[in-house]
Amino acid sequence: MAPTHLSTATSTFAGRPAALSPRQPRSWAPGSRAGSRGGCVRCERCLIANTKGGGHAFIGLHLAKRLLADGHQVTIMNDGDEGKLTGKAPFSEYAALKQAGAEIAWSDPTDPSTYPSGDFDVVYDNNGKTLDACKPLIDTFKGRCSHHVFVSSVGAYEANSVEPMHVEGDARKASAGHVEVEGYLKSQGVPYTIFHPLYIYGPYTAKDCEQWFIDRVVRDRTVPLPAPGIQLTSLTHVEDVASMLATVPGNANAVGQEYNVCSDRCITFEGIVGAVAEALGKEAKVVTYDPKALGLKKGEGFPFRTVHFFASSDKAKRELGWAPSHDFMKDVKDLCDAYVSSGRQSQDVDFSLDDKILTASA
Amino acid sequence: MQAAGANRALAPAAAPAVKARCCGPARVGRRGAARVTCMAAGATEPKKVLLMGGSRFIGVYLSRMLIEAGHDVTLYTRGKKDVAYQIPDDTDESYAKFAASVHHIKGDRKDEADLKAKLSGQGFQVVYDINGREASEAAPLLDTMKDLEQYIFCSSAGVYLKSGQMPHCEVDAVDPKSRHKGKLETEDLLDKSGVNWTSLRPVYIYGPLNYNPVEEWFFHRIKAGRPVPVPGSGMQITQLGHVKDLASAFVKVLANPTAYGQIYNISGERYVTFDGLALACAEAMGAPEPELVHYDPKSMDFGKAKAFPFRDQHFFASIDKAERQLDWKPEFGLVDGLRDSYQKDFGRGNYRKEADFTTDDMVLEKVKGVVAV
Repeated sequence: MAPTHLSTATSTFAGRPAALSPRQPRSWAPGSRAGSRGGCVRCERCLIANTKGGGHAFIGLHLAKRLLADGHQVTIMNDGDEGKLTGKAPFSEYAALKQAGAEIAWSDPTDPSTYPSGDFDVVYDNNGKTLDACKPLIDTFKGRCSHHVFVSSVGAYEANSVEPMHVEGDARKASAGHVEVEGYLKSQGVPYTIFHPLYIYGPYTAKDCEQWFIDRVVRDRTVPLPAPGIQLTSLTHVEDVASMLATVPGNANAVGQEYNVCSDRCITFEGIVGAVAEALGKEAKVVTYDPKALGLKKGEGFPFRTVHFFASSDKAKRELGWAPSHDFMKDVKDLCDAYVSSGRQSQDVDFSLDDKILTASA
Repeated sequence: MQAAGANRALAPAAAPAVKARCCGPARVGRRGAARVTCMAAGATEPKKVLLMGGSRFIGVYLSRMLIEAGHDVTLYTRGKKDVAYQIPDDTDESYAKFAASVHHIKGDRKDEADLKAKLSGQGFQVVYDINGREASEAAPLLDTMKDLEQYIFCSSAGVYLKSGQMPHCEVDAVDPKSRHKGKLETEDLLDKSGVNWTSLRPVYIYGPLNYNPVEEWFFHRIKAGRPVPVPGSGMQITQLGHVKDLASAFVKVLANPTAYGQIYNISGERYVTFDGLALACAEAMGAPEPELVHYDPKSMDFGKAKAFPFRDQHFFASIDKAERQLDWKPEFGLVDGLRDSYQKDFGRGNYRKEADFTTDDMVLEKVKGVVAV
């Protein structure tokens, strides 16, 4: 499916063009941002390879919206089965995205024969976590695109129990799939930018984040937290993730760089419970427990890593001119309202593991 | 401190300090109003500087840096301690220059009439208020020195209201009931006074000559081969800032219109856990990792004694604003900084407070049933 070729802005630089682009960006977002970023003198052709599930799945949607609003062309190449996925978030929003001017393709990012044809200036890989998954995309567009963006993860930093905050340049886990991809990009001399997101919340997510806490507080349940409960983590709104990723097109300074993508605030597990309880007008009830003592495996019983897990986004602020517009404390009331108005509190939730933990901790 | 061989292109020390005036009213302090400058930014001409306090810790380094930068520096102290004494960071040459250059006014700043008499008509252009605790201590300075170009205040990150969201940022809510509320009241007074003011809020300060037993507390225990008792999980996160980095931040804001009416958190770039800090101290000392003994502080009654040098909560602040606006960056990482402190102070057998393991023994008895020998 060939991307529609729309008339591009003149790219001659004899004085600044009068309009940023002769094409009117068809964005449904009120107050279109096209032209609001002084550096955007050229419409870039962006390809987003997007994953079919998980916490990063909705990044593609929001990134696409933001790029369109900024005046770029966008093609999403989504992994997975169109029939199975378009019924659920975030893919259920793709119809509206098409209306706004994006091209949507359903492909296999590991199979170049399924890729949309045409050339792209910026290729975003928001799909792969391993070299096998990412290499075909990198190899196909090597030399053909001016910027390859890899959405990696803060999770691939080596844990540091002395100075826990992750900063760009800190040691990465050599065996992590993401890190192999990062190494490959660097070794291939590809003009890359690597982004490391943390936990993400916001509209149309495919994976719960704060909802785990709301599930319990709204039902007046005690929330079991891995001890000591003061671990710090960072929750970032997907629009802030999208806005950082969207600073890349046309930005040569970002080439060869990596950036943590996260809110500039972190919050403790207890703090999340407290904020949710206050937003819902409920009492915060917490019990802390030792997952190891209860024989729980990694990821069992709690949605987040049990150690301090937060990062600095100062580098992005300084070099990309980015700033978050959200913070979790400001958003928590809206998030709880959205949960309640969706009727989720009437749904059944499996609390059997919670009950096991609470009983053992009594 | 660097040897005095560094070339200084600034005005010769003997020339009377020129009273520099920014374009515009002399006493604009409101944010934005005093940004206009008629001098090239960064080309700070020599100022006649008054340091309130300055003989114990921050001021020791700050006064040296200011003199190195060509300023005329006077310390206002009660004289309990000499204002010029050689420190490990001095070379003989740099100390000689410092001792010959620094001036002293002896007095008690709480004696307002005496303060006014001693400061009137002296022509100080900039005051660094390092030891002020209450607004009532700043007021007489403002009243007496009406032509002040800048009032630079050493505040504290302790003013921030405890928050679920961290780090503390300059825009965050402050706690009017905190034990540092005098610092807040001083900042408010400065803001209302119309003077060009700048306030720096450090977190925990460390470095050679620290009179607060911060790193020293750990050094004593590790040197004695004793376990280090840590309240709670030891995962509480705090932040240390080296005194020399704080001093250089103080120098960066001098005559810097960007800093007028502004508050800056100043500390190290990284945050550290309580457990991590104990380990970092041992590394800095070249000593083996200590045993860490965790205890529930609620189960202990220490009376008035302080069993641990840090507040039992997460406490750290973002220095991003200072880094972006002041062309300043901490030079010391944690282990390097602790090593600097150890090598120039504790490691030479110097410390401020004798080791007192009373509360340690209470913890060990409670937790382990035995007291370490």
